[in-house]
Amino acid sequence: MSLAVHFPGETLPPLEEDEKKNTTFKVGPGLTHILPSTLIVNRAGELNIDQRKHTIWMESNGKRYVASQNDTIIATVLRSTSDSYICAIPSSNSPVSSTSQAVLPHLAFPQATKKTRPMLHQGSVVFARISLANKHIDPELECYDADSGKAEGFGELKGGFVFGVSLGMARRLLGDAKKTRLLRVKQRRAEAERRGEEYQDAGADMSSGKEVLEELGQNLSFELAVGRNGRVWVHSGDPKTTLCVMRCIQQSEFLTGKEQRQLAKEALKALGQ
Amino acid sequence: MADGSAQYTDGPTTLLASINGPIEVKPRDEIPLEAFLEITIRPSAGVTSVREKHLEALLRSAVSPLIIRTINPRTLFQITLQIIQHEQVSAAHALHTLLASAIVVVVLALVDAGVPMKGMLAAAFVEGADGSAAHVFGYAITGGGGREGGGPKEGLVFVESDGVFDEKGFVEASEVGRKKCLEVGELMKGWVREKIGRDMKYRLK
Repeated sequence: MSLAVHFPGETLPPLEEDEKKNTTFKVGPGLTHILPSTLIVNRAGELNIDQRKHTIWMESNGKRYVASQNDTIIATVLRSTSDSYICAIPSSNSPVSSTSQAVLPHLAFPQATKKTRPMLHQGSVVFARISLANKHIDPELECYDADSGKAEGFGELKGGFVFGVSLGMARRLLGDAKKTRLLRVKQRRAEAERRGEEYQDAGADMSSGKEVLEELGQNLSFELAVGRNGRVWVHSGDPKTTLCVMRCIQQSEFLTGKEQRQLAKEALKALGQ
Repeated sequence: MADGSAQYTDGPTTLLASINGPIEVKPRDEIPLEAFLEITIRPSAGVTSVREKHLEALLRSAVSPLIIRTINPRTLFQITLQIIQHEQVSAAHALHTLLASAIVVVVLALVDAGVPMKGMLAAAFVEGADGSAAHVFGYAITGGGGREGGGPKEGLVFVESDGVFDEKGFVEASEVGRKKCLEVGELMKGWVREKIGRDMKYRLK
């Protein structure tokens, strides 16, 4: 598989002019923007350009999460103050104590008033959305859907089991790889056209990276929540099932789609399903 | 578990570097608009001495201009370098051979951790013709390395010399150093490519 890797310090060639003039690109993580229009890579990885959404960013795996707006994350409650909960945003493999802190206001729950608010205790796990992220201040969290104002799955995650995966794996489990795959195929087709060749799908990039979940989901019943901070919450009636799901997800980090299905099948057999 | 790490063996020297960050910083180390850089070097045997502290300072001057510290203000980047094996080929220049390898391994670990950087640095140790001088050269292999933002062209950005030498000897040594650095640089790029390839392996059928 040919992978075009960019290294920190590289200056990117100017972006291609869109048919619609004056479109503004959103510059994502891994790139430094120098005015007026120079982009410099600051993190080794693969360059992604979405011409339709006008976004450009570096794709690379990591283990340390840095808060960014509208990300859905799994956080841990540290303590409560008079009007908000102080939460920790753990990363893939970090203990809660060494992580960045965030503020979750008592009123940032669906239909919460001063008298009726969910009681969260130290150590509670919440699924929340980052409503404010700025490098100079602590991030703020919200536990309701921004559009509908309803819970939509946000809030305390009761029971279950939390474990860590790499940030790239977490994004894959959320289905990001499927979206970027189309992007890459399109990019490659455009490149082939520019060279005057016929584009041939070499069969690379066929996996979404979450085949393991699809396979497990067909045979076991469990609840799953994935946070972009590299935390995964699993809940099922039976500890054996929970651990099986955890082991399979953690082991499929560096496996291809086919290998992931194989792994899941073997694990299910061992579980007696 | 660390956020990024690298191990590097060059002849008799084996080093292991680990990076953590951005993480919470102690209040007394906090810098309002920048990340704080903590560099710790642990010897293969015994306790940290003046030698390690000196090397820490040299390493800091080589590595800290590479890191864009304004992206994560009021945080800490923790760099820990464990010397696993280091035989003293020539006792006088032991520190310099160590420094060259230390720069390489720390840069690789920083790239692995995804720390925002202005460029990558490759380093090489060069001994003077009669063994009386020792030089460490650092070359920016992928742009950046200096000026805020724009970054200069790839080239020599770091020199640390010791011993007796004249201008002619230095120019000769720098030419040898340049070749070595570019060699090491290509290796480093290859390793990073390999690592990213492994991260993206899931895409294969």
